[in-house]
Amino acid sequence: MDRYKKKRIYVIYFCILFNLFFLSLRLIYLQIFRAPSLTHFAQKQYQMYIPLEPARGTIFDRNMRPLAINLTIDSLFSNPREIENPLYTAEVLSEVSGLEKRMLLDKFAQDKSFVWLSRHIDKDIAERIKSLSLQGIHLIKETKRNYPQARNASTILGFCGIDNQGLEGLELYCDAQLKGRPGYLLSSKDAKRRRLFFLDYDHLPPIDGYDVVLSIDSVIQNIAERELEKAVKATRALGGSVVVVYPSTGEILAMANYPNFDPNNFEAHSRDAFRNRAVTDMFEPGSTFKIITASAALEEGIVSPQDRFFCENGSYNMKTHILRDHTPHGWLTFREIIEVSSNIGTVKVAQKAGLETLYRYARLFGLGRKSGVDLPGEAGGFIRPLNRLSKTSIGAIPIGQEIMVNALQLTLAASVIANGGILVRPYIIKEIRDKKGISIKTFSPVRIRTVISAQTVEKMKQILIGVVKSGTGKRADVDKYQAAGKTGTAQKVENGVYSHSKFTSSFIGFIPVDNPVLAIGIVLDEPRPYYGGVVCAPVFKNVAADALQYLDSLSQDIKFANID
Amino acid sequence: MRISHFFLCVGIITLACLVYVWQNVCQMELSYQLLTQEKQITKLVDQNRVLRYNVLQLKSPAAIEKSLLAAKIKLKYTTPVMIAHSDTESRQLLVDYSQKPSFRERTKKALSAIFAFRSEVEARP
Repeated sequence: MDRYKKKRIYVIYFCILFNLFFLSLRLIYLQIFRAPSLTHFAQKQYQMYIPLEPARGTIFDRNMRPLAINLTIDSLFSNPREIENPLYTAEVLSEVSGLEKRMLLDKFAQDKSFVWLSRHIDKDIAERIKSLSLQGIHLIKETKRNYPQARNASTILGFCGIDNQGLEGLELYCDAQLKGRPGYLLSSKDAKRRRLFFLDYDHLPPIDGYDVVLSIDSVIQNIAERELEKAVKATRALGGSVVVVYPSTGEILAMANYPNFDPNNFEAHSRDAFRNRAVTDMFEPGSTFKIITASAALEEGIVSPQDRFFCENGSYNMKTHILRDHTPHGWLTFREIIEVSSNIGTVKVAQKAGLETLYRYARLFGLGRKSGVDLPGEAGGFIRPLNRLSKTSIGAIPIGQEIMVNALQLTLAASVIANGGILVRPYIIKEIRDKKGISIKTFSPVRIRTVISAQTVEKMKQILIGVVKSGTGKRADVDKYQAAGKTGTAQKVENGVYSHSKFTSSFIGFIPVDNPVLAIGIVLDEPRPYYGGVVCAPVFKNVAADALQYLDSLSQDIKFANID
Repeated sequence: MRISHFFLCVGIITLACLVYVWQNVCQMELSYQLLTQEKQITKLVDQNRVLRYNVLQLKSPAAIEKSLLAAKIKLKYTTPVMIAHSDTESRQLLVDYSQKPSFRERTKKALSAIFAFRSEVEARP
């Protein structure tokens, strides 16, 4: 080999080596220095991250009838970068979906790859959009909370927001239990962005939310809602509540409020309708409080049902103010005082008992503090501390003024008499269970305290039967069943003084007296006419009659929890 | 190494590669099939949910009351006597099913069992 040839080989060899050296450098640069960013870039091309939404738990009534469930529904989004002709797309989409063209154009102008156009759209509209196959317009499946019973129990259940988060009622209260834990799936995708099943990298399965079983019976709830709506409309009241409790355990069988709302379309209603008035609204109980006054007096042995009191023929000068009865009465027995709801007679009894005793019993009955019900927004009620009571208090508190309660607390007062003098904690959530039906937590009745003795209970029962048989609550008398209860009509406070035109009417009672199954409380806000015995007692009658017939028809199938 | 051995090795390696590629292609095909079926299942499950929801809506006490009111139908609540329970352990059967069927009914039943005859009502979907 001549020298020239050898030189050429060396040059070529050197060139190859030189190139290899630079290629190695480039390789090192790409493999080591650019590795993280290039790996990420590559992963983005072939990997897909799929968030896995957990199924929100179902809410059931006591008979396992679903009250809140999930449905899959389409939502519309766009990738503005994929849209070649925004004007045409906006025009067509606007025509099909009813969305505003200007709004669509604004969204298409955004330099993003994902823009929501409309969440939770109708199935028909989704089908039409799908058939158009518009560039950059996509549909995605989402779950939406639905309430098959619509308005029934809506103020208890509340509703969920667009992202399935609880916003009101039990949906909010039990959000942590209902929502579950989201998961994800890291998988491979092909050029058409389809998932490749066998090339999953990472998978965290979602944990579905727990189901919540309520103590509510949707049939009794419907009866309560129906009768309340009828009463509110007939009396042109501002609103009202009906609470039905199983007295022995404190299970809430129904809690109706009016106005209510359709949680499937909650945006169409005012915030006022979302309120669970039975626990959030406080009012002066009026004569229904006489149950507590009478119980205190009987329990302390200050009076007996046959003791007679002079009712001053309807006008009693108490030095601080003049107390009046709605109907003048002369001499009445204690039993008759409660039956005809004489304010003067009740105050005279209370004067014998003393404010301290009355205050103590009001607290024992659970007034002036939260009942502890598992519902959000409960107002605790209000009783002024003993040392802050005024000279007028003795003429006010015994007849249900100067104190504030909510409808549930008032119903519980009747429940105490029905339950042999025992106060139990009310509850609405019976059980939390997983999707397989395995119980996670069961809620049992909680006995708070014994308020009055069995002897006093018997005397009170007879007095309250008298209210329904021959007193102010005649309209609450139910055929075939013995009812007991008390009416109430309280003046509302307006600008610091008691109004003569605005009243809160109420009725609390229980049925059947021998073995009480239902304690029912009815409250109407500013009804016309305003007497509790006229407007609320018929609601008690209708709710009790229908509910008892329904319970009878179940042939004792209804099972109540046993008290610990 | 003889040339035939070399070709044999190449052939085996090629075959192994082809099997490997074929497996992957099959996997992809199955993946697409699964994807289609999964979509179908999701669609059917969703449809089922909607139908169940419709049933629940129709069975809700308010809806029943509304439809009865619209049809002017008045219903009575049942009494325990009117209810037949299948749970015999806790309750007595109120409807007497112990009565023997007639000869004609028994013959029809036996023939139906043999020849898989179905009554008109049963035949309808």
